[in-house]
Amino acid sequence: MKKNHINTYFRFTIDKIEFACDILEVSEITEPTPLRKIIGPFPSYYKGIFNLRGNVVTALNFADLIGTSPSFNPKLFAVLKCPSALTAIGIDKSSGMIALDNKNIDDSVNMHLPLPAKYCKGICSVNATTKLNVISLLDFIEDKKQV
Amino acid sequence: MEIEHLDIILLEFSGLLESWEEICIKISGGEASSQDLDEIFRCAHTIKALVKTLNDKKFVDLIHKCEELLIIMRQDSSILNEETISLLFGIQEYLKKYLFKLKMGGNFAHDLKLEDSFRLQFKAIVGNSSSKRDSDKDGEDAGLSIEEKSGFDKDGFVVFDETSAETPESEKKPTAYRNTADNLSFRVYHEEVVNILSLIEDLSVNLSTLSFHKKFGTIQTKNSSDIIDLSLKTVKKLQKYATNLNMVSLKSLFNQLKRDAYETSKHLRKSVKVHISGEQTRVDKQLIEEVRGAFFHLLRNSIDHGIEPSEDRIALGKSAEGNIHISATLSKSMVYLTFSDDGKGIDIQSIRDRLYSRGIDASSMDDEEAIQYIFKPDLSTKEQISEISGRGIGMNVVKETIDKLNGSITIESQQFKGTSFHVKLPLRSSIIDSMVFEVDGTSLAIPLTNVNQVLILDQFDIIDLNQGNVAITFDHFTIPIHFMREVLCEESNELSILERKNLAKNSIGLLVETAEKSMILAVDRVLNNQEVWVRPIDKGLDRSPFYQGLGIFQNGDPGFIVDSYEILSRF
Repeated sequence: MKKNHINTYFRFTIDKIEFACDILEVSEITEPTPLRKIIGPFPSYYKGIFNLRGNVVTALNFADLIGTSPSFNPKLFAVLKCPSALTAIGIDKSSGMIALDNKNIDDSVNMHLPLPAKYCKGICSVNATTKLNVISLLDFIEDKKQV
Repeated sequence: MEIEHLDIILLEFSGLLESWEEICIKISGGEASSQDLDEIFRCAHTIKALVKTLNDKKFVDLIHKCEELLIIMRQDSSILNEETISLLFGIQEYLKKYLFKLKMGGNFAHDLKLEDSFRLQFKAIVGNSSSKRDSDKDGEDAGLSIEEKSGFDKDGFVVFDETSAETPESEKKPTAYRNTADNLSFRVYHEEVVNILSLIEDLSVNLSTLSFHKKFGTIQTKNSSDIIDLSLKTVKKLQKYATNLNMVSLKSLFNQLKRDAYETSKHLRKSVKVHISGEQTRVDKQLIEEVRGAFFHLLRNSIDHGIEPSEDRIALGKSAEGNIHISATLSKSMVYLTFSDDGKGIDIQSIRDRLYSRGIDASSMDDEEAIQYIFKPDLSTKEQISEISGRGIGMNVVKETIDKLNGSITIESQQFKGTSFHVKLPLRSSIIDSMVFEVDGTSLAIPLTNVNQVLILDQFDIIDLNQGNVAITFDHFTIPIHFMREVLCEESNELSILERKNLAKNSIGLLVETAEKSMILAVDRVLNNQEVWVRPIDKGLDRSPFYQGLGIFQNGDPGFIVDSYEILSRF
């Protein structure tokens, strides 16, 4: 049986799917910045780079990464604290922070996400209609960079 | 066992070992003063106190024995011989290993055999000393502690007679900027930190003024523009000071080179004196780490192949002792280093013969041109098989290392008179003087030192090369053209020869070369030359081998920095 453990998550939407990831994985949320194109043998989900206060941030299309949509018109960027360098993913909406109790994250159900199971922590019902897909975003992104 | 302030102890330990090495080098060159001998004793004494704190009784005992030797050394200069110097270097090396283990957080396994051998050597040297024999005879030192015998107090500081107590010069000099053995920490001048803090305060005041005006809607264009101008000036100063923080003097590297020269010349039974100048020159810490191997090679090369044996030198009317001068000077953003020896020089005829045997006609080359071939990897020279100067690094690797750091190396040599290597390196590895150009609407940078010439390809006759490639003839050489876009994307355009020729005609050519080959990199247009701030490259973005890093251009845009050496090596 799972123990009670309350953790703070960052809640965001991409392609009408609601996600939540550990708040500590996110550095900040920024307005979309014009991206500089990159030339090279990079997968299509590498959308470009931008300057965030002197740091070069790589922008990725998360929807393309998980195979839901190749189009990239993010309303916001979620900048992640990847160990190698700051990385941003485009998101449609930020719903701020939410405290979730570990015991309410149900890892027994199939999340129906096009995401390898090891990055899916489970589903948490916020209310009768909203279900959050709790994921290990940072691990997923870091692993994808090595592919 | 948990040791309080271990990091401080290790930093102190590291600095003391560097001083120890520095003094050993002076002793080996016959340049040690009595203050130096006092200083090395102080080092040993403080190290003893540190290892006592670390609770290592074996080292306490060993260093205690070493202190006895150091005391005798101050009284009897006859023991300042090769045997003693080797022993002091050996102990310093052993302590360095101990320090390294401590830094890595492991337990040090004492080499008891080596420690016993050190003790035997102490005994032999001390036993042979006339001073020891005299004092034993007179019994003058009976009952005195090490501190009392040495003239030091128990903290290891020199005890001076109050009436004549002028602090020795060596004590007055700041010993800051001792680079530590590893790269975890190093010392900085207090003044620099104070300057940075003061600039940050200025910046905070400016920003809070701006913020106040914004909050109360009193912001005016003139005011805010003045504050922004002031802040930009402060940031520029801040950048300068912060960059300086990462700059270390070449002293530590030069000392290591001196020590290496001592060991190498001893091994080769040659008599060599190394003269150093400009050791206070400060360069980027990272840069020092990266050129270290190349500099050691240049030095060993000079001792091994440049400096003649004493008897040959005397026969040539030279001093019996060979001389190597290592110097460093600064210009605006570059550091110039010279390695000169007064040895036999490079036999240019032998290089010409080698070139001839490889089918290269060197008859029309002048000496200066022919001598550059020593940087070619396939020009097998004696040094490459030498145990001393050929330890996995040849002259071609020296050049490659320096080229990769966006520097350059040139050589001058006169037979029977000597050889000089002139190395030019950027002062900081965090800023690169670059040429910014465009490919497919994307701005990219290439270090200026990598670009030999910029050519407007429209002015050249584009010729067919094999396998659908195109080239130009430049300076009597056929130089292939590679399209930067194809190179970077690692794919080939399906273009006909005619289309490729047209594409080339509409491009700008960057002539890049190494000692082995040249090529033209065709780009859409060249924007300008500027300083580019280097930034770390993200893991996912390092999948292209043709980028050496990411940079921020002057307009604030980020972009890749192209590595032309990697392109040259793969095409």
